[in-house]
Amino acid sequence: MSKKKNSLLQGAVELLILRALRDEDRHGWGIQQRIDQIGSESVTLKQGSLYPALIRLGDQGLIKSEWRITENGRKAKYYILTNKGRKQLDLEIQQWEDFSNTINLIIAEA
Amino acid sequence: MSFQKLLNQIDRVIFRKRNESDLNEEIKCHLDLEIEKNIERGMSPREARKSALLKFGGVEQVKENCRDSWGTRQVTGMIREFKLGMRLLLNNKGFTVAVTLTLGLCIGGNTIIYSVLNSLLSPPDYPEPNRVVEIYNSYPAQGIDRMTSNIPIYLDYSEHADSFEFLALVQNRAVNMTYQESSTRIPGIYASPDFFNLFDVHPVLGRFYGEESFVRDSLESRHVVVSESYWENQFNRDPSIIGETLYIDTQLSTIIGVAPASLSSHFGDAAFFHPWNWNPNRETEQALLNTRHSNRSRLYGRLKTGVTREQAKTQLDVIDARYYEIAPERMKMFLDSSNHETLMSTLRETNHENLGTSLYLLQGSVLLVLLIGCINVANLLIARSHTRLPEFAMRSSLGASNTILKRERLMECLALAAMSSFVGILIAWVGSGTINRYLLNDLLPSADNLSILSSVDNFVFISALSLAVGLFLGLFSSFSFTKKRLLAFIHESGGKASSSKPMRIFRSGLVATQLAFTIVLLVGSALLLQSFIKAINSDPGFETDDRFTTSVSLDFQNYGDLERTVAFRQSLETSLKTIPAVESVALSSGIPGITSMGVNTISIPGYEPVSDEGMPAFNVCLVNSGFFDLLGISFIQGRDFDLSDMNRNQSSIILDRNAAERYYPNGDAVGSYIPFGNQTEPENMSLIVGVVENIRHQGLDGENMDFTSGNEPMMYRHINANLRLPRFNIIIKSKRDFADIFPEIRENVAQLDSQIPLYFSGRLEDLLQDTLNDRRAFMFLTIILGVMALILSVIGIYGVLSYDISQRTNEIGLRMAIGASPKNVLGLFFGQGARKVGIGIALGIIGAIFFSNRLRSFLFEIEPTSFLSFVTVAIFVSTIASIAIYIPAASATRIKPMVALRTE
Repeated sequence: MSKKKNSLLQGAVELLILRALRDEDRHGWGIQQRIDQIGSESVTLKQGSLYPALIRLGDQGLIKSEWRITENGRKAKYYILTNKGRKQLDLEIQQWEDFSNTINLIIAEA
Repeated sequence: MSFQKLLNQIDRVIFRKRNESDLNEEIKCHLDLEIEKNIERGMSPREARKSALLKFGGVEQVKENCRDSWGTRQVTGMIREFKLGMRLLLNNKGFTVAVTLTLGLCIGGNTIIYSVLNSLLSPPDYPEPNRVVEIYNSYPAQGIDRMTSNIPIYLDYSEHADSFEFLALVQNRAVNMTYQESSTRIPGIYASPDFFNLFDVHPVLGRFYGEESFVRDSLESRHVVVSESYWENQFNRDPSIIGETLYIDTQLSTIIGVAPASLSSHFGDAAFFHPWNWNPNRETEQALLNTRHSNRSRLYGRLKTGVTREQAKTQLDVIDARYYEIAPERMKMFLDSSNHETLMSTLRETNHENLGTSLYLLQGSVLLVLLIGCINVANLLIARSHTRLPEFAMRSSLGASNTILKRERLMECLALAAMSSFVGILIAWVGSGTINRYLLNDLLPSADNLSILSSVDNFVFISALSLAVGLFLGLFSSFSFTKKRLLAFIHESGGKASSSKPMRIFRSGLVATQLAFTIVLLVGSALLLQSFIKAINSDPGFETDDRFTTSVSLDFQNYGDLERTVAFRQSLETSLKTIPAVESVALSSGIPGITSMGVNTISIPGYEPVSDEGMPAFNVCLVNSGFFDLLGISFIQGRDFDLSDMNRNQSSIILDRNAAERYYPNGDAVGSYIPFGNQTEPENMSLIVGVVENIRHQGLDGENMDFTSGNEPMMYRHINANLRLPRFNIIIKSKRDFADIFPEIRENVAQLDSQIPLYFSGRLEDLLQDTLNDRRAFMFLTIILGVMALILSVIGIYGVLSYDISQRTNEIGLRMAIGASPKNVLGLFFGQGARKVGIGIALGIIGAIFFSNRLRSFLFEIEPTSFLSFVTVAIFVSTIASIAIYIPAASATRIKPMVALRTE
């Protein structure tokens, strides 16, 4: 598998995670549910690939984590978007839109 | 790497377990939630679980991916292997103790020598040490590279050299210090006013003396600053000592301040700092011109910011040239013939010059010993990794990568090095204590106490050294098995591992190398030992048995003129002769071979120096009549001083044989006249009245008695020859014991003047041998290192040979089964060992021939290629090595063929 494809996918997963955390703090499973919910079936990912991505985002300082109790009384690790993460998300959404607009434009012109 | 990531990674390395359990719990939580959701959708629990796991992907795989994302795999792996290494070592106690002791000893030794070098060569602790220089006179053509300076130069430079911010004239001087009726002789410093500014130090208490102190008889000139240690020992750090008075050589002085300990340590542990008193009216312009090169004091300067030493030197050269223009004819001649030059050096460079060579040699030797130790351990490790070959082969075939196996070896060696450096620190700590107690003063008179544990540099050194040792060993032991060898081993299907041929040759090479290093060290110590024995048995040229000495110093106040001094000496002599069993008494300005004497250059009428030779120079010693008789120095020509010499207004001279033969080749020395100082009228010149035999006046290990440059001949003058000479030695001949007679001497002196303390007392023989102390210390250290090297390499040979034999038990059994006699077997292995030893000794002797040349300046009356030393060491080492190879070889003959063959 080429590295390029890998990193593109990785980038996408990370963008989706940041987007999922924009409105509220979630635990890993919750993030997964949120992505499934908005992305319906078009983005299918192994659920496990979420966790390495979470570690990478944490190392970049875009999210932080803490252990909390869920409403069902279960102990779970919640992820929270940091200020830096919020800015990064806005930036990446902007870039993504610019990029896809350009691609759309090229496709439309062709 | 971002800061956040670094923090996270540190957390993951340190709290690895917590991070792991967090990850487990998080994944479990995820799965549980997914399963709950599935059950809510109506699946059976079993189905729900299966679907959740399927959707999640392999749990272990996810965990592995997460660990990859942590990015700490390498570090945690290495830590795990380091711990594993430690555990293996602790299980294998015999091996570990042997290795850590070997390496610890080597590392400890290195640390001690390094810390000595470091403490000597580290910059002094006053601010901007590179700007502080000593300015000194050099007279290369006279064989004197470094002399001190003098007050006319100080005055001249102070006025004309603006390259310096401060200049200070300094003289070490011991005085009789009397405080509250008790009188002791202590060392101190006389220094001109800017001394404290120059070194940029501040008083611990009170203040320092100022500009006015330079003027003799001013109020300030009676002030004194004491050192911190004197303040502590004598006054218990009592702050009220400011204003206290004490007598310095009977001059009443007031304490005005305390100087920090750091300052004293650069000046021979000076107990006090006294103003330099200078009387401008007493010295005429002409006298300044005449005494410019009577070097008696040291001159220091602090360079102005931005001024380089080269610039300052250029300026001083110009000032010197200006002096030359107006100098008296006699001085011009002297300056020309001696190639005089004014030079500068920092304190660090001076230390370096004085002690550098011997310490670098020691550091080199101790590194050699470390290398020998490492080779031993490397050999052991190689042998050990053989016995573990089956284990490695097994792991390798189960999928352990070669890198991991090698890294594991490396980490084990680093663990070993870490343990060894711990032992090394302990040894260095104990060793430095011993050195401080017994050797420091002989070896390094200018060094403070060594403290291994107080210097960061030492720890950096130890860490670097043990890391180097660990890497060195790690490389050896990881190269000792390669993928190829592991594969070969597996193909042999579990057969007993045997060393490959290249590996055997390599290990034999190591053994030969360590033996060669040992030979080099031992030849060095043998040469030093031979020199020492020669020196201690060398004939000083005078009698020392039953001769004692002590010294007195008369103060200026009570003995300010010649008459009173002469009168005191006469009554002293008479008084001492009344002590029972005293055979004779002599007085002199110095004791040949023990105290250093001043060198004077004198022009001798009728003698023309050869072009490259300086003016005639002499060691001048002032003696009374009876001196030669007491020391058993015989007359070749003429006579001893007598009463007629004292009554004439010209003084008399006695030369030694060297001087007479050199300057009066026709044998007409006696009866010739020599001008001293400004004596130009024949009736004022000094008359040579006698010629005596040569003596070894530069110490037992001084140059031999032949005339050479740097070994100036002796000139004796009468002790009353127009000189006041306040400090002189008393030499007494008596059959009585020194401890027994000394109190009586003290009592007799006290009866004449109770204010005069005696110092530098002892038997002539002891004092003469004390001059060899530095030689003895250096020799002992080298011998210790040599013996260490020998022990280590003998262990090395023994180890390698026994290992070889243990590897070949099977073969030996077979040989013996088919008829080899024990003698054959012994011959086989002894021959193998002997070949290694032979090569090692041959290499060592070649190495020693090169190395011993570096020792030349430490040798006394032997050549660096002394046959005796080389042969003794070669025989000694080969005997010991033969024993070391005989023992395992003999044990091979005791192998029972049946037992050996059955063990397979």
